Amino acid sequence: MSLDSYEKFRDSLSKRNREILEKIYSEKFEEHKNRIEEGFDSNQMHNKLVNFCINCFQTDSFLYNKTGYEFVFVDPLYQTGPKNFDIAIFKIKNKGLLLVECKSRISDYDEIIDDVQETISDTIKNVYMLENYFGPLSFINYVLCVDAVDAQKVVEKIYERNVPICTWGCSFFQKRLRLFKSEKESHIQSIESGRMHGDESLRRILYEGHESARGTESTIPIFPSSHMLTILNHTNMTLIESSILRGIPLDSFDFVRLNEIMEREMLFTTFNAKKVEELTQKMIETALKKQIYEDKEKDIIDIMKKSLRFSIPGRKPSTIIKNIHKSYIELNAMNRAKSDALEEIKNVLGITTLDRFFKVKPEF
Amino acid sequence: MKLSLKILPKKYALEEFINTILLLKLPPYSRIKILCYFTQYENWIDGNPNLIELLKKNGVMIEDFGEIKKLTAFYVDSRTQEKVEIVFYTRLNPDAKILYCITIASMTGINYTLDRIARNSRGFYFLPIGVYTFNLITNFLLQSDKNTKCTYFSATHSPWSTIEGEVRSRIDRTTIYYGFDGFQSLEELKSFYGVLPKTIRYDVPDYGIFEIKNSGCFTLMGEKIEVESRRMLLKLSEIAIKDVLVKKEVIDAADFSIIPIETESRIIRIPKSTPWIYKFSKELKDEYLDLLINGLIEDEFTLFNYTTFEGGSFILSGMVYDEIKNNIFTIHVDNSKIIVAPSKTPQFDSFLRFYETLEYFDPEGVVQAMD
Repeated sequence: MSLDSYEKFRDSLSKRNREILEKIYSEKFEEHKNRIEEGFDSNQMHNKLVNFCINCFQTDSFLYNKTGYEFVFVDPLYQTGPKNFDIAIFKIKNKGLLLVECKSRISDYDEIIDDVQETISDTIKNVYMLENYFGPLSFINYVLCVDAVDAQKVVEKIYERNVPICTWGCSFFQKRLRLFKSEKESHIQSIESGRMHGDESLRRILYEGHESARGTESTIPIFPSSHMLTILNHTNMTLIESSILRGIPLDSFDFVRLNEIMEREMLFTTFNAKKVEELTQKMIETALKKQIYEDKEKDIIDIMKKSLRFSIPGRKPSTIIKNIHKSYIELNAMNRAKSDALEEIKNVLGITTLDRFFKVKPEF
Repeated sequence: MKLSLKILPKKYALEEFINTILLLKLPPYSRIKILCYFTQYENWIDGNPNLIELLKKNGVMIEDFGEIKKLTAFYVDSRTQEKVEIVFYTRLNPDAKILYCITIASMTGINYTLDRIARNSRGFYFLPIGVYTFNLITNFLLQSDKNTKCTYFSATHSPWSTIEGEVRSRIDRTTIYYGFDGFQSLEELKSFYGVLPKTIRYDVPDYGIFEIKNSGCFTLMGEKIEVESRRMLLKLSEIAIKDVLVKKEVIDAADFSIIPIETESRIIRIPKSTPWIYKFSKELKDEYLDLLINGLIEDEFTLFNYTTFEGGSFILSGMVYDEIKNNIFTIHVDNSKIIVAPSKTPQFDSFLRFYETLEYFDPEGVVQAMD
């Protein structure tokens, strides 16, 4: 929907109907704002859970030293499609790969298992891409990492549905990572069914429960699959940091600068240069749409050649970060609320189409 | 206007310089001060910018006096609008990377010149003297002369400190105290109002009067026997440096590197981060999480992409932007500690500044390396 069709429509209404529309709009606005905030918050929690696992398996960590498994990539197959594991953990010695999917919140166990199953079948199709990095793999263990509170239920469900997924339960507060086993099958059966790790040292340590010396600190602050607001926050804070460091004024920056930052942030992914550029481009487009950036040269169409600046107020990082958040959430919520309000007013006014209110048909 | 410490211009070896300072006749009404700054520099010429360039960029002139360098800085006195010239004789300790400065400049002058560089420039920071270090100095002086008295102190309380005091702990307050019972009063005011020292003045009958600021400034306020008093001033700064260095070394061990590993088909780069830890003196109750966040904001550490988990205990996890030192790093905070990890090559001055905030939040906490 174009933004001004809402205003045009509103202005065409009687005073009473206009008030109704505005009331619907403000309710919808709050609703959407909360929903977008929740989406961002849940991405933050997911990010911390992923980083907790990364930190457990960082090279030179206790787990690495005891088992040889080390963290290598986030979003290892992101380029192949939306279904994609969060982390790849590799052991050079036996060429075994762990692909870990982290779920910070569970509403429906079946849905999550369906989801991981789909991800597994997509992965199987693209194993060759992983082997480009690791060479021929001797095995892959698929892992679902959930809150330890849910882990036993998840593992029983996985057993019931007979899928080859290992279940890790993570207790943030105890900083513990534990491998769960279904009570309905033996150790040997679990290993054979792909629900426990075949690697003895890994299985033993994780089954007993590993208490990490590390926490949820963000070793990898952003991933390709991160919420766009998470990416915007991090990239722009890094832009400010590097601008001040290099003594470059902040009133003009461009694709090249932002892409340089993105390249560094995407070091631990399987993204090639082109993919990084695409992500940078997507971020700039979002920033322009959400009025975080201002286009200094509107006549230049190519985003890669545009000169940009912040259109949100403030110069201090604390102000800028607050305004990126505000701008992103509010513009999103505003657009969605307008579109919803127009839909809903039709019921109130007892009409099926808003056509007669417009000389030109509005775009939905 | 000029009120500068003058020594014969020549090449000094360190010992000769110290002897010169110990015996030097000061201009009337002037007080000798030692300032200590941590730097990222092992020498004057390496780095981009190097130490010479950094100082020059900030308007400081440098003359070579052998192992010593004479720094001349200027500021405009806000009252008289006069340009004031101040002089520091400095030595860079290559092992500890400490810039050691001797001057008779006023606090205002120092504030406008070297302290300003320490506040705002990369790779340059104060020697932070916290409660623990103050206690070490106090104990040392009492041992050297049991009649040592604290005759003046200034102390502050922040609403977000875990040292709460007995009354109205969420009030910001500063106390300035004069009296011969300073040691007792500081303890009483700490327990009643939760204040922590920023400046302490010690009257040591056998040696003189010494004033120490939390920014690493040591002033000899009154001399008894010149040489002995000045020697004591040097000794006090050494005690402080030695203590803070232990913590700084742990912080300096923090690192972020990118490591290549070789698989059968190619070389993959993986991250390796080494954090430092601030272990709280006790398990913190949930309500302290908000206080800590307030403290970070007040000290201009901006949190972003962060989240909190609560329920019986708490976790705060995310990114931090140090607005003063312009540096991004990541933290994990729970009830017992805070893990601080660099997300690229670490910047010691930003970490020291963060440590100062944490020390103020929980003065009895300790800096630890990763297990």
